[in-house]
Amino acid sequence: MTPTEPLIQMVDVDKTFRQGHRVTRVLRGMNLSINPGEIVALVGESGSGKSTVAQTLVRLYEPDHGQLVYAGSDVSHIRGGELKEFRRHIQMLFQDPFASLNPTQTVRTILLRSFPKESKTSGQKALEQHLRDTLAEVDLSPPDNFLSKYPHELSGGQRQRVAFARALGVRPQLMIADEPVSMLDVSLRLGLLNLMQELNHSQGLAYLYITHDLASARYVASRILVMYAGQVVESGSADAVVNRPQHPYTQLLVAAAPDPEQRGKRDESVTINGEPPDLSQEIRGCPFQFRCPLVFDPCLTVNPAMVEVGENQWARCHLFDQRQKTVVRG
Amino acid sequence: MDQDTKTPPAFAVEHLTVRYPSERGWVQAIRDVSLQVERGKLVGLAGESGSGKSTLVLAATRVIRPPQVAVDGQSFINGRSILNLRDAELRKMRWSTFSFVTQSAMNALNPVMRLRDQMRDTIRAHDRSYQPSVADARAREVMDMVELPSSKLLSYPHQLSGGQRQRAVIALALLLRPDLIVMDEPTTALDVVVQREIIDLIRRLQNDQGFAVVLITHDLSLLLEVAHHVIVLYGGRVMEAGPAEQLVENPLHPYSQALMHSFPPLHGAVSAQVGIPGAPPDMVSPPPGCPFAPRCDRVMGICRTTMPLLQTVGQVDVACHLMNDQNREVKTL
Ligand SMILES: Nc1ncnc2c1ncn2[C@@H]1O[C@H](COP(=O)(O)OP(=O)(O)O)[C@@H](O)[C@H]1O
Ligand SMILES: Nc1ncnc2c1ncn2[C@@H]1O[C@H](COP(=O)(O)OP(=O)(O)O)[C@@H](O)[C@H]1O
Ligand SMILES: [Mg+2]
Ligand SMILES: [Mg+2]
Repeated sequence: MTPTEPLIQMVDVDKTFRQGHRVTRVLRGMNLSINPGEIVALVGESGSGKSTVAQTLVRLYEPDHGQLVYAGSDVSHIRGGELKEFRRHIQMLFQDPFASLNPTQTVRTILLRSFPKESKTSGQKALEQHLRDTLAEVDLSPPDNFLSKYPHELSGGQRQRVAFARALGVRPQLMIADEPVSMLDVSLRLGLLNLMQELNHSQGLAYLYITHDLASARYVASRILVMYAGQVVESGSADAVVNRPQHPYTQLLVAAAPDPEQRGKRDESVTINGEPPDLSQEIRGCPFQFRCPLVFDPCLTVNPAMVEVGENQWARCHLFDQRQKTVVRG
Repeated sequence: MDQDTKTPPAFAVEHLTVRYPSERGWVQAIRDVSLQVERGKLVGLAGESGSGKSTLVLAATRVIRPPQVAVDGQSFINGRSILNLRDAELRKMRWSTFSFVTQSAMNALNPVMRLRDQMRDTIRAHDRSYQPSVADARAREVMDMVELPSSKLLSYPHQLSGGQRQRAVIALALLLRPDLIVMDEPTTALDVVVQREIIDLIRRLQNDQGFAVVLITHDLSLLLEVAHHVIVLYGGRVMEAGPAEQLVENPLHPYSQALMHSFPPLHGAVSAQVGIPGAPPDMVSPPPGCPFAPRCDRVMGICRTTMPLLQTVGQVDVACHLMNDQNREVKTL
């Protein structure tokens, strides 16, 4: 694998769920790419498909169309041993650490079960050391205070760290963190985000950080993808997306985010009419047209393509087709 | 004489202490808290989960009451003492003098009733001269205020989206023109964009109608942006209270300072931030001194033994031994 080859890629992925007669097209041509050691944030409203992206990336779901490419090979439909091997490289961290930890197991048991088989043949002493090292990595120290505890005996922040330690046990290359701090108190969130960054620096661990909080996305990630109705509508460096958003939806998200700096400065409220589209209906044209303050004719019929709108910044919006044309003409 | 001419605050508690019985002993959720909410103001109650925000407003309005909890101290709404009011009097005040908006709209709305019928019932319970046509006219008025079409009055709660449901709860809270609306995490379950719509709506309504709002949220950046006044709770005590601008620009308590650095800024330079290591105290056996002492990076000996009292520094009330002149000198030595 060359250093520039993406670790994982989603290429034009569609994912549809069927429940009785109801057919929901949740992912609609989803594209993303994460390089080794990169931290990418995926931002969007609930229902936009973020968790479905996460589950597809770990192949809990199979893409209906398009490909999931890991280290250069198509893993969209692999099975059995191949799938098991693939999953070792990608781990998930969930929003609710309580739901993801077995309440009847001690921290020791939870971690031991997560270690790969090889490590269990290396002798009791080495295994004990590995347990302690893993806890130290997530700043749970001294380890003896935690090894014999059950999840309910830990605080929310500590539980999330145990879940983190368990995910680290198999030495993954990519961690998918699906709203990992949204249930933690404000004072504890940065601790976990900093931990993610430390492990990124020390082990080159890559992340897909899923959140609806733009400020924390900018804090932890180098690149931000903004998702709407099953597609990426804008991508770029974290700084560009938050400070120079180009897509009207991203502009809306930035304007709506709480910001003490805006105290008393906000002019009349951001008025956004409507809600995200119903994904069980056919959508003609741009999925954001129903809420977009800048909607014009082409939006009603054609879903726009991703267009480069700045240095490594891309947006899926007809406003930029126009600009491209003028640029070409001029 | 002077007492009579002065309008009492919309909401005030004095030396309020609230304890829950538990297997492990008393949970000391609120400990000697005093605060005031002036008429027409939006006052934010900030604090980590477990700091006592909900307990404070629930006990002060007698939504929770003995034997569920033990309550000491006083609570006043529009100058009327709440804790020793007769039940019938209290029922009269609910909705018409103060009302509630909670995180889960489903708790406030009856799932098997159309909005219109729920509003009719609320009005009927308070108005002896109740007439359906008058009630329906008021129902349409409040729907208009929260920018929902009147046709939704015929809907059941489950037929509305999350944002619409929260608007309906606000409409219900406005129905009998209260002077105080207590909102406990009203936007926590909503997306940022919908949250912004609801918060803007609350501020517009408050401006037009002049009721006071107690807004509880753990989202400090939101609170600092929209509240007139902010009260920071920790371990069941008030740590700092004052105008929101003051807290944004110059937080005095080490806990408020640490909180301000706990969320990354939306714009401006990104720099490493630390949050607050450690965890809030166990409220069955809180530390004898300042509840924040175990996590405070400027802790002194006295902090571990003696709870600092709230003292006024400029426009702000702070409970911290560092505000004490002697200790200030020690600090600068
Ligand atoms: N297993 C499933 N079956 C049917 N619909 C689903 C399933 N998983 C997700 N959905 C639907 O897909 C949409 C996107 O969901 P999700 O990926 O969880 O979004 P997000 O994480 O951004 O909130 C939602 O409308 C949800 O109801
Ligand atoms: N019904 C109850 N029984 C026992 N303890 C409770 C009960 N409700 C809340 N508490 C405790 O009281 C303290 C304050 O809780 P709460 O008022 O809910 O805080 P907040 O709203 O700030 O999150 C916490 O320590 C909490 O565990
Ligand atoms: Mg999700
Ligand atoms: Mg609460």
